[in-house]
Amino acid sequence: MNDRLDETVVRACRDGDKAAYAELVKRHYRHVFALCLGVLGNVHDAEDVAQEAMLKGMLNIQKLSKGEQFEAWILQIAKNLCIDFIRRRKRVKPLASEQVMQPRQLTKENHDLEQAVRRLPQELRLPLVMYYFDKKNAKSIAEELHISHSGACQRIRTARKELHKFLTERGQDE
Amino acid sequence: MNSECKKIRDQIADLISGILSEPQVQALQQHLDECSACRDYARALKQEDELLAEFFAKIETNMTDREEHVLKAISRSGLSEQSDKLSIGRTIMKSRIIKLSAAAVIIGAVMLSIHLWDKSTPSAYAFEQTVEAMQGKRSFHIQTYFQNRRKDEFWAEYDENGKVIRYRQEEGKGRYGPYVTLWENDIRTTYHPDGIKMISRVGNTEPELEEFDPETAAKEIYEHVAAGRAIMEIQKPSPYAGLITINVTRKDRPLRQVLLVDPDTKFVTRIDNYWDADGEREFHKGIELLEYNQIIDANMFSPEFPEDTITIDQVSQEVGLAQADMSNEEAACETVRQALEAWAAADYTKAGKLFGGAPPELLLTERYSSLQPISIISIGRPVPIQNIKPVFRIKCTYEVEHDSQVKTVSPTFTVIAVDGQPGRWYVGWWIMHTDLEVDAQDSIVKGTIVPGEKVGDYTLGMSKDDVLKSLGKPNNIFYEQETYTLHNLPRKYYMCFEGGISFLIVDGSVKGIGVGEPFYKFTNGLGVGDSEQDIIQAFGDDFQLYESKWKDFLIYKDKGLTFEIHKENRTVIEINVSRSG
Ligand SMILES: [Zn+2]
Repeated sequence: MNDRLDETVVRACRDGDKAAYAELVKRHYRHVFALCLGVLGNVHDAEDVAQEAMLKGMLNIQKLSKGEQFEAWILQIAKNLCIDFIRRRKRVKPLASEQVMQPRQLTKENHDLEQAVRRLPQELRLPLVMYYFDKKNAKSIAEELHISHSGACQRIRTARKELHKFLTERGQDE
Repeated sequence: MNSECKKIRDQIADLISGILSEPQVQALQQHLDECSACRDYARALKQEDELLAEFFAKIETNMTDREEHVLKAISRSGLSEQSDKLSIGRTIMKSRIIKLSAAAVIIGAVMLSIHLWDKSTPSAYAFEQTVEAMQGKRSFHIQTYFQNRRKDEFWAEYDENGKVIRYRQEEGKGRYGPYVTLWENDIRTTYHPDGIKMISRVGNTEPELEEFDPETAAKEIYEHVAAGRAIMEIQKPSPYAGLITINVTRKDRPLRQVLLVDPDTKFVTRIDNYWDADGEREFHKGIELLEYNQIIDANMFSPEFPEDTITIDQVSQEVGLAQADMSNEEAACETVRQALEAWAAADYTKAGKLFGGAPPELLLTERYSSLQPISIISIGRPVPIQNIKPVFRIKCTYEVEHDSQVKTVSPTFTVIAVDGQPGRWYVGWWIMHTDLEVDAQDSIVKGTIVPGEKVGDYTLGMSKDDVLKSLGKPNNIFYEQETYTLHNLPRKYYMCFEGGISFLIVDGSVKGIGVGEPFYKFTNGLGVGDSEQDIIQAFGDDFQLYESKWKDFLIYKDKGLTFEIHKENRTVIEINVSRSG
């Protein structure tokens, strides 16, 4: 149903209807953002990369022949941009000033939690973000990540246990 | 914590996720009633679950703002229609080309207004236009340069997501032609002009191509300027007619870059990097964009190789030796030992497998049969080679029969981890050996290389006319991106001749001589084709190392010598002679 609608909207975009792409943004941005958040583990980076992905999608919409595949297509673009971003982040060490600029308005517990989420390996963080942010169940997580149902359960389980470990570790440090 | 508790904790995690079955929940409940440690654990996980829900709900609250922001950026950038140039720049600023702190954005914006916008002409050009124009590459064809000399040529194709589909690389000029590398669908084919082709499974090749990717290069330069790490100036008037010349100076490293931009397409047509190595001499590396987003002839990616090409297949068969629980060093020694033993026993199938999947007929060719062992004396110590993957060189001593006489030889073998077959090692089919005439051509030595002085009869300082008198018509005359003929020579240029000898000419006289073939040797017998190890042993370790993705350069400044080293087999590809100091 959704896919059929996408197909119509994508066709309109290709025909030069500027407003149509806005419709695609409304329908898919959240999903793209969730993916970026899950992969990158940082809200600000996810905002930037998700926006870049939506823009790139718009600039390349002519190349998408099957409109019903828009979601898979835009998620793939986002994923590649995330990988690109991680590669760059590895190469360039963050400046001291950038670290100072991290938002501090979150409560301390939330800050700890944020750190802990960020410390999770990507393959555990992404299912966790999909579960909490995208409110997906293990079945649809498995489908989207092309893993087995038990594999998805396993990852969420391990993510929880790892998070708990990080959070209690920190408690002991202080 | 006993093993029961350990299992229970998995279930506690699953309980929180709501994926536990009814009987499992009952069993779990029973354990929790009895075990206070697990009760605490369950309580903690439940609390964390709430925190997580709260944490993500907080992120959720800004979703509308985020969406708004994206929609604005989209409406500003316009759909297929051509929007005004200013808004292109702005869109890029807003889109995530760079991750900047707020302060850096402000600094960056000021810098941009000073350096990127060329306000002096009515048709204002801004570098953002280049970044924008080059975004979304689908293909490129480039020529790379090192020290102003042509090096490799690349053709690459990308999909709509910017992932490489396939590429071709032509590397240098071997004795019989260029080395060709092809990659597609995780299969890499390397063709050596002496008639050997190797196919192996290599996954991600993007890091290798990235260095030469013009889209990435333009983006990165933009990022450095925007982040205040570099200064960009448009040179007026441009020294290159019809092209915009942009000078970029890095503040954080001794690098200056010269970019040439086509004002019509906005594409960067040339990028030259000049590294100031020691305050005196600059190292040059550049790319020239020959085609961008043009359709590349499919034959480029699936060329026909000569019929008698020998194929070393590492894709459809298991090759080499399994490492098992041996260390890398042990595995390398064991691989070469077994390869030599099988070869000595004339078990060409086994030996071929250990030589990386070489068909028996390769070992039966003349160049190999002269090196076939009859008895092994010693397997040397493995010497690791700095490389992207583990590689060792091992000098082995054994006896061969040569002209019905038993001789002792000590060739050096290369042992390499097999691409796409983890935990397996093979012996490279190139063998470095200088004691014995493996290849008749090697023995034709035309002259001696005297560092800081001459190569054969050609001396530094001799006139270009004398060079021409001796060698005849050159194959190629060029400097930077220009090619020339004998009738329109510039002040400074390179002249290349048959036989792999080339000259740097300045004001009509020879300033540098390059040797790309083993026809010229040093008095110690070394030359093109010999190993890096032998070079360092002979010339000492007082050299500067310059690394590129494909080759390394050993530079002996005080001797006026530069050796270009093949990344994979660590042998000399080219020798450059200039005045010392
Ligand atoms: Zn227990």
